[in-house]
Amino acid sequence: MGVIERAIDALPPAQRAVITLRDIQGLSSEEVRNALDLTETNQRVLLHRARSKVRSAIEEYMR
Amino acid sequence: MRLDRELACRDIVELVTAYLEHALAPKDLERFEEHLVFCDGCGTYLEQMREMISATGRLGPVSLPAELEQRLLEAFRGWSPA
Repeated sequence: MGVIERAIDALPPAQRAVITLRDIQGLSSEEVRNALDLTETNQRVLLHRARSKVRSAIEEYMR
Repeated sequence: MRLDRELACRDIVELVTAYLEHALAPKDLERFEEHLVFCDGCGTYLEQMREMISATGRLGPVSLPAELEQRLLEAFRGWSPA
């Protein structure tokens, strides 16, 4: 498993669900909001946290 | 989302997802892009984010956890089209 997959695996469930649907499966933010019953802001906050953690994991990995 | 001062690098980091989601108010979008003009570090940060998102998109289908796969196979066992 690569660094991105490991980082996604380690995320809390809601963050993992949002980044998986958005960035791996390629769903739109509206589709994800509907599927997971999230507000626009919540969806974005979860995506932001998830992406930030994955980015940190890559940064860590590159050290 | 509204901010009424010049953006610091930490604001860029905080707003990067809103920026990529096209969710910034016009005024904030202007400030965000202004910052990028003079800050190479944040330009690199944004580029890394884009690269990462695109790499994530190339991971392919997520493999199913073993117990879910088992359940899926169970659901199909003995099934035949009507």
